[in-house]
Amino acid sequence: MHVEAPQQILLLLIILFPLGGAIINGLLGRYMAKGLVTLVGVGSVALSFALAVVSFVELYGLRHESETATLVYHFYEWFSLKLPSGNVVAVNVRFVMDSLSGVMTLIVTGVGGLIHLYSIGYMGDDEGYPRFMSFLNLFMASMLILVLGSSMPVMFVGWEGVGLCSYLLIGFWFENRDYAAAGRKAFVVNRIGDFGVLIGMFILVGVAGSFEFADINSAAMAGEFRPDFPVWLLGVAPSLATVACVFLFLGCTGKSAQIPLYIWLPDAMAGPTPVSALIHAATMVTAGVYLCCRLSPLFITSDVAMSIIAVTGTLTALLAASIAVVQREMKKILAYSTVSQLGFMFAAVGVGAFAAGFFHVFTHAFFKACLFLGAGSVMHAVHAHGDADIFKLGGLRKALPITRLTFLASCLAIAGFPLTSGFFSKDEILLGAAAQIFRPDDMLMTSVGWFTLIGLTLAAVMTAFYMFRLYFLTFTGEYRSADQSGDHPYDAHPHESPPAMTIPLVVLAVGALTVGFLGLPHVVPIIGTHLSDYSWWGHWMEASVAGQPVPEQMYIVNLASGLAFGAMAIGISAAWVLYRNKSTDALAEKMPARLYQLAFDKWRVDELYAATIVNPIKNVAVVAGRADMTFVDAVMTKLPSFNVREAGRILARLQNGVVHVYGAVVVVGVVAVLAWFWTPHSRIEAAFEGTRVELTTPQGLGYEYRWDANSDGEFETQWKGTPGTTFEYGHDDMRGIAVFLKNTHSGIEHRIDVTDEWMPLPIESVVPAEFLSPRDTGFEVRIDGEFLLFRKAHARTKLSGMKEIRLPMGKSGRLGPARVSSRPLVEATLEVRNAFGNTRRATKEIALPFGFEAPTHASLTRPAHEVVR
Amino acid sequence: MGIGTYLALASVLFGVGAAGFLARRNMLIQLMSIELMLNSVNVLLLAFNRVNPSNHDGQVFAFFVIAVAAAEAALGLAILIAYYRVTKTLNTDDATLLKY
Amino acid sequence: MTTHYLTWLLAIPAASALVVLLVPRSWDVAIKRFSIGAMLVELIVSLRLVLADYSDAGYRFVEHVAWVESFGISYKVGVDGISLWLVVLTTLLSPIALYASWGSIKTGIKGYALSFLLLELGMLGAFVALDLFLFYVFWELMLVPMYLIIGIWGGKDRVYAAVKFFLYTMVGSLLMLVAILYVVASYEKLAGHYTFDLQELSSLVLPASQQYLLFGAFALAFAIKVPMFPFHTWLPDAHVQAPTGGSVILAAVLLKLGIYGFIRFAMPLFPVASQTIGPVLAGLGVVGIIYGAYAAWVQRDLKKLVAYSSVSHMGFILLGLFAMNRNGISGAILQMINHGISTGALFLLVGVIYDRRHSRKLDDFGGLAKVMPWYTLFFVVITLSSIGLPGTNGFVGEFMILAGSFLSRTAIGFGSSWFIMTLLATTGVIFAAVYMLHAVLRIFWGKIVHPENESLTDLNRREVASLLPLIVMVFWIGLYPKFFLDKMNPSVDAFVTDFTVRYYEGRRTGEPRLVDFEELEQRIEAAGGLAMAEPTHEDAQ
Repeated sequence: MHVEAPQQILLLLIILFPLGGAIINGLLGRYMAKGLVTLVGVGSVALSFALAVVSFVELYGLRHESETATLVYHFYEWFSLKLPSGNVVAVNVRFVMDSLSGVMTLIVTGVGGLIHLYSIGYMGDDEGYPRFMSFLNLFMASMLILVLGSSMPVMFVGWEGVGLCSYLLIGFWFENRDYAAAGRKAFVVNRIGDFGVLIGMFILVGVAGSFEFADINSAAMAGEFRPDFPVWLLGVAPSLATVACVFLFLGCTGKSAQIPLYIWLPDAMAGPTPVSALIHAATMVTAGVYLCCRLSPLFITSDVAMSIIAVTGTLTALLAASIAVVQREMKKILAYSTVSQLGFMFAAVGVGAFAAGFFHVFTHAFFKACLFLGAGSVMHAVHAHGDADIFKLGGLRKALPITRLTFLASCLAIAGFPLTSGFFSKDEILLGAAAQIFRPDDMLMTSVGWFTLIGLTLAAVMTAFYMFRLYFLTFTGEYRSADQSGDHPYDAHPHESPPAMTIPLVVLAVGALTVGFLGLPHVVPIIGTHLSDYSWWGHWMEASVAGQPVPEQMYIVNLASGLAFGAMAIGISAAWVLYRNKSTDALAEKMPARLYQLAFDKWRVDELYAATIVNPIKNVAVVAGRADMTFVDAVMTKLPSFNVREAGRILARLQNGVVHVYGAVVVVGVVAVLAWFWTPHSRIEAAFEGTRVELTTPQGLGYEYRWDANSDGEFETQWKGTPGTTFEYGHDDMRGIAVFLKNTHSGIEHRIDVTDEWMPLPIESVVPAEFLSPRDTGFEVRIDGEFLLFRKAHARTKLSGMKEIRLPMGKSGRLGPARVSSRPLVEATLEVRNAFGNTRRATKEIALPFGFEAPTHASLTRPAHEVVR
Repeated sequence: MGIGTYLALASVLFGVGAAGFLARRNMLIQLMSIELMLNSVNVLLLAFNRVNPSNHDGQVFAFFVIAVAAAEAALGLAILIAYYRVTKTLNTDDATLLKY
Repeated sequence: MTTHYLTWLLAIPAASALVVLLVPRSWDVAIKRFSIGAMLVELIVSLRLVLADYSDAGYRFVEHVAWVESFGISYKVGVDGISLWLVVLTTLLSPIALYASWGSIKTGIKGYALSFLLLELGMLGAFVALDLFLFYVFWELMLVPMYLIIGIWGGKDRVYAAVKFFLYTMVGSLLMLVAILYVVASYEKLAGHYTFDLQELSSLVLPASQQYLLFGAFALAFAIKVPMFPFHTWLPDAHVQAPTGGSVILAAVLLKLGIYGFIRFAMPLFPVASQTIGPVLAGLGVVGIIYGAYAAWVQRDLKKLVAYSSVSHMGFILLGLFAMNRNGISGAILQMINHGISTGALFLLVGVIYDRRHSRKLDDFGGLAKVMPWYTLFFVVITLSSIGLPGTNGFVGEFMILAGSFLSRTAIGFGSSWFIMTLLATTGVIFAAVYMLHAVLRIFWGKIVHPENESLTDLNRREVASLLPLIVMVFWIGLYPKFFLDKMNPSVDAFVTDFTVRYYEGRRTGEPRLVDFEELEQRIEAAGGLAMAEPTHEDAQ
């Protein structure tokens, strides 16, 4: 049963508060006191969080009544589309909170609120503080629209809105043009993804007939996306679901920084640290995962799309982790770590473990936000701007005790230390991958499962390693910038950050350690004790996302847990050995120098893209820009004007002003006119009245005429001054039969003189090209007495009909879309004489629009068919 | 005399006028040649009028032609004089001011 | 009389132009106030048109007075859901463009105001005319003031640009005149009397072979005006040379007349040709989208960049138009309004810095966000509208157009050529972001490198007043387009049905003939309506 509570105005208010805050701070912030700006900026988000909690509690309550309870607020109708079927699809501004969007709303407002709080301390001294608050609020509003929107277009408003905010916030310090360029890069790369979302959206509405997620999902469950995609694509026939999902996933790779579009995220660290934490770690970048979960019933209908997602996610996790291992700057490491963790989430989605993937979104929001804010706290403490080189830090555990502890907690969580949040979520993901391996009879998904499991385990090893490398180099050993010698740019006396910054850190760290228990698995590995019938998380998510049953077999559970634990242990131990209390990059010394450099240069993917995609397009653009004013303009405007001018110049030569030349031209003209009049001119025109034919010719001055209407050599009339005559043709006057074919489709008319041999008809006049198959050779015709016989010559057209069809003389009929008429041919002769005594003869073949009565052949006694298509 | 004689006379007159117009370079002579051609037309008109005298259309038109020719001669000569005053020549080869 | 609003709409600028013509040229201030006042009255009159009920198709406020009876020429005007918003767009942007011009136009005030009033008259006349002759008169009338505005108050190469603009558009319209005369003559042969009345001429069905040539003649005139690739090269020149006000009107309204001509005249009169050639024109639209975006990206002159972006945007509109369904056509009409607003505003914004720095080169700017924060805000908002960010007007139009072209054929969705065209057109969304953000980056972000930019002043009151209505429209259309769509949808629906019926009739005919479409459509309606909105080849046999 589907229970919908009455209009939930709270859902709207959750969005409107931050939006209002953004508008107030954006327009008036410059003229307001800082305290007021803070009140508006942070207060609006706090209110929003409070309302989100209230709504969530209400939703939680409703769940007891119905498994699929949702909260709905219908705002207004935005616009509507009309489908080819004639149905009108209204695009409503409508918000829905269900178990999935409820959790996401809490993450966004909760973690977002903490980050707003943190920003008071971190950004308070910046002159653009009101602007910063305004953008952050705008981001919150957009993200909430993305999460709560009940249909694709409304979600897309938020989807692009967060992209915009990301652009604005990355380039927040716009005076640095590199930062602004990084913002632009983020926006453009995201737009490439948005292209995919748009196309995906059109496929969805074309098939499901609705933009609402609920309708799309039920259409997917009803199998409406199983048919083949109607457009031929590179020789393969994917299903509708596959094509739609691949396009949508392209959007996800843009927003959630997956291969091939992940390149913007590391650059996005140019923004202030709270932005990195809020947008580029905790919320916006998880929107892609959110979308996949939202449409999970659709995604699971396409194994191909799922495989692509799983493989892409795994590869991204590995690639990003391998880069993070060798980076030197805090935020850069964390950025690649984010990309890698997002890869984990997509791998989970790809193996069908949607709930697990989204659980990782949830836990990741805590520990990654905490890590970024911790990094911000460190940078704040040492007065680093932009980013901080960990090899110039070290030993900060004394100066920054709170930061250090929270950072450690989050590192443990992300590495997957047992009983921290990351442990549970990562374990679930590996379990999902392992479950695929043991799915019988499915080669594709089994191999994807293997690939994912192994890849993610490797990535998990690296994760634990680089996180603790970061931790050890930053917080253990000696502070390397203390002496201020050499190129150590940082403050000699770091200090702990103000409470506005440390409180969020503590809250997030506690979350990072504990929230995993929400997803406590139903079986304990190794021991095999059943804790409960199901995990709370899995049950909560059931209503919104498609799920696969978790395997009961203990060996699968043990395998996944063992791999997760082993990966964590290996990674942390390696980091301990190589970096604890060290100040040099031990890994760099152990790795081949070129490999290290290549990884340090991010595998040179940016350069690869520049060389293979960006620069070629740019070159085309340069050519287009130049060609427009040279080539296109030349052809379209300069050439015609040149022609006119030159033609005028040539003709002007004749106007040379010499009277004799003009006189000579006059004489030439007079002579030409005389010459034309020297001999008579005429042409024959025929008009039909019944079986009588009226033959006429234009009358000329001083002309005399005589006719030989049937061209038998005897003139029927004498010389006379009037041009016309009438004649009744008989059977014996016939010179042959002509067939006229008029294609009513194209209006083209053809005439063929028919003999008693089979002869082909011009095919384009009978059948339009689109009805022909390549093997068609068309029709043939021949004369048989006074009948025309048509037959198909090896025709495979769509036109049906008899093998041979006959058309009596003088009649017309239809042959496919062509109008066929058969006409007897006769010939008329006219002799004209003018005043000079010169004569001229004109002859004309005339196709009569009627036939002759008397048959001369016995064969013609057979009954004639009217030609039918 | 039949109409053929008049036709022949008119043709010859016209031919002489046309040849004079084309061959000579002096504007005055050319003007005279034009008059000659106009007169050949007059002869023709009058001859046809004699053949078909119903309304005396031919004579009426001949008067028209004479009037037009007189006007043309007056204007033409005036232009010639003005032109001669400026250029001191009446050679048409030099009078190409009206070219493009 | 309460229904003569359209005549008022045409009479006010005509009479005001006469008044301006008669006052001495030294009364600068009075002329300025009077002409803007007249245009504001126009705006109010046009808003009265909006109040009418457009819930069913058909023309409103129709006035019909015989003019040259022997040739069937009449003064016939009317609006429907298709032309309504274009009329309002014209009356909204004319005063804004004129008002904004006073920042840079200091000489020849009288002539400038006169030109603007005549221009408004021409544009409004072309939008409301229901008589082909009347339409042609207004269509050509527009050219002259625009020619003068570019040629007298323009930039360095103004004469070249003005002549190019004039000749280029003239060539197309002359062929259109020939085609109009042919249609009228064909009608006379069958009906026995001449008429230029569009509604009467609509009963004429011409065979396909004639339609192609006639459609070609009309299409050339309109395609040049749009401008469709490859007939667009007059546009960058005209825009770069025109004064700010001229550019605004040129981009915002004049270009729309091309599309409007397709909808109102070329498509209903020659449906078979439209249906056959339409995909080609849509394809050229797609080429325009991508090509315009590429060309815009590499421009160094901001105004040229915006001009090429117009080529790109108009490509979208062509695509939507020839998708031949409600989504595409409604989207195209809405996008015409959107383009008028956002590109008009962009030209105003370019004018703002040109007035201050007398340069439009991207290289001469950088870091303006520091000194001109409000200007930056306005520019970025309009940029976002131009690239179609959801929530702004551009998104709704582009979305409907793309949906229209994507869903243009069968029940499941698409013919392969339309699928590919939609894919390519959608990449235009990416490139729009590329070139517009490129411009924003070069102008606003970074440090101020040219010391003369340090002292630039932010927007003044006049500039804010001229931009603010456009900003309001950006969000109004973006957030509640239903208000606008509800007025146009019935007309568009009727247009699509009517087009389809005409198409079938055109396909069936070998000789010109007259058909009572009203009666025919009623019969079809009674028989349960057309099964599918779009004609397909299978039905043609």
